[in-house]
Amino acid sequence: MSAAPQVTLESSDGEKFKVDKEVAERSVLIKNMIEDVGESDNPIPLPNVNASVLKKVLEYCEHHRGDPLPAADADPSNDDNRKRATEISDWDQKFIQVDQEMLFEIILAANYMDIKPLLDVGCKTVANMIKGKTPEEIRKLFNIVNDFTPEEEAQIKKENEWAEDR
Amino acid sequence: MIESTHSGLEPRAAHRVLFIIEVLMQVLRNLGKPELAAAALTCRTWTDVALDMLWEELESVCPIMALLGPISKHENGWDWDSGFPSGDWTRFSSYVKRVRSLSYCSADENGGIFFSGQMSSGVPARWLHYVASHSGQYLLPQIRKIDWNCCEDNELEMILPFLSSKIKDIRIRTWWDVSPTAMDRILKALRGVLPSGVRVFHFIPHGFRPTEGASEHMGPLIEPLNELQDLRVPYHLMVPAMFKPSQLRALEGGCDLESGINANALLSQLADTCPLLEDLRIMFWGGSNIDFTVIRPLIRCSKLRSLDMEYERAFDPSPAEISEMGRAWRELEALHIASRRLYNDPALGMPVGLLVAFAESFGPKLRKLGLYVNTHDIPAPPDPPVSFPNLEVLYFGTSELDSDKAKVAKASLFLSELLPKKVGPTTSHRWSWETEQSVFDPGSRGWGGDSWNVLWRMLSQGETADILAELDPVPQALPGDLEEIDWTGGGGEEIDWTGGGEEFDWTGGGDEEFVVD
Repeated sequence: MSAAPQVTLESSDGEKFKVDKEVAERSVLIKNMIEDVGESDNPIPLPNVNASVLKKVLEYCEHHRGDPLPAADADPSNDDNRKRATEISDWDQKFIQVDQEMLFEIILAANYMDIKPLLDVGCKTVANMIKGKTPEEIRKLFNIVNDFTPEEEAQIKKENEWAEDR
Repeated sequence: MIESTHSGLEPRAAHRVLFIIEVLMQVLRNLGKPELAAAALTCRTWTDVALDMLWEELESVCPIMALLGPISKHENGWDWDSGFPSGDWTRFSSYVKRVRSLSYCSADENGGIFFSGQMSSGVPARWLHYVASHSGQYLLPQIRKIDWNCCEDNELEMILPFLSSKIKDIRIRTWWDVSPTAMDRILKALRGVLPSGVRVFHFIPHGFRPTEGASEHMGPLIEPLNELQDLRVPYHLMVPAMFKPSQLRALEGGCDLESGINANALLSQLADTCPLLEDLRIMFWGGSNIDFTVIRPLIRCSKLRSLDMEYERAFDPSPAEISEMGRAWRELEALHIASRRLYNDPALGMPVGLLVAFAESFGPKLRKLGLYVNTHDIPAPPDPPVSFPNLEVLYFGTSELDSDKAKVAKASLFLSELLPKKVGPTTSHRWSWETEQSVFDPGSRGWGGDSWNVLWRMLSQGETADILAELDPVPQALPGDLEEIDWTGGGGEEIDWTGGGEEFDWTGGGDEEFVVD
């Protein structure tokens, strides 16, 4: 049985990960790089992703290696896509149970490495954290600074009052 | 705030990913309106992204009105508390440019009236004044889709200020009190404002009695719409112009054959000009029998997925013609072709045995079938067996069966062999598979929802075996899951399917209220 082709990825902090090409190519960024450069033994550098995050991302790619690739033209503003909203599969749910810092780093990495399903899982998780919270609670949760003037805040609130839960 | 360089006792800063717009968009896309409103108030970076989504699809005009000043519910509907407000127009513009889709609804989908969203009758004039005083601008410059559901004359015209040159999808539905005069006026007005890029145009009046004027405006209104894909018009307002758009994929209309229109020529023109047609719902009044020759031009519409044709006389194709249809319409999923007048003359309608030809001719794609049959002669189950592999719903009208239990049992046996074990609900009151009023949708409002008759009971409640036991031979296979065959025979006491009843006159000739949605 011949071994599956492999590639080496190098994290920002210099750690090397040898993985099946099929797994690495869940990342559109890496897939394109391999296509551009051709087969090579040189490690592929990922200067924006550190080892602990890359390890986690590769765990996701490994688990989803056989999944069909998402359609390139899937329109996220499409009603159906939107309504599917916050459904996350059990495995993904468990996978994404990490601290906030790691969650955001995974999202950043998925965005950078162009792994749409992973980005989606991450963003849905953040959305679930927002649900049911007041603006003040959201700010507190994410350490966001309130940069509105009181007048601005009052105006925006008034203009969008209609959307609030009754 | 951007970089997480927290150290020591300093409070941890927000993660930078929360300020990457594309990521933020993807997060907020998962949220509903109340949550978007909260997100908009979190910080400045979030405001624009959240508001873009919050205002993209509006289900009422009230948020737009309220941007210019306090509004409240007055006797005639929503209005500003202190006349037309001077308002902050810059602010106003920053919001309305986000609106892509607007719904206005003062009636629910069944025509039930609720005034919660109704605009006061004075409002549109003031909007129009606004539009006029900002020449070259539209009130909603980015609007793509508008859905207008109203029940009074003045409300109908309120749609006008909200249209723009970018509109692609316009759906108007009126209820109850909207007069033909108002409809005439709106059709005429729309002639001047609809851009040629409109893809969807629905004009579906309730109880609309057409006037000369309406049909006069419909043609010129539709003619320039070269990109039209989906067109629904009142049954009396089908005009040749609506067959011009070659992109047409869905058409709903009808015509009065008494007016001298030749159905065959009409369908031929339709088939020639709209080869992409997938959904056709068409109704004919008057005229003589429509046999297969009349509808044969539609054989050229090879992409048809749904054909729903209704008229007053019999449709009685031969097995060869059924086979021709089956060969031509490989994509067909739903076929309803029949006359609802048939019950008045039980001698008409195709023999129930022809179902075998349908089963043989149509492929596994066929999921819905609606036919009117006579049951004078019920054959034995086909041998070798033939069945519809994937039929989910069957909708029948039939000549009288109920009084003759042996006959019913024969029908039951015949059907049990022919139908898949799992045929879904068929009780309904309508003859279209439009989502809202499907022939086949269970639980639709109105007649038929609880209809029953002897055959239905036999098939669904196990009485069959007892009755069939007296017959010879005893049948083996019964459709255990066949729960709701709506075999609404002429003998059904509660329900009048003949179409001759007062509530429901599709002929349009009488003064009765008839439903054309």
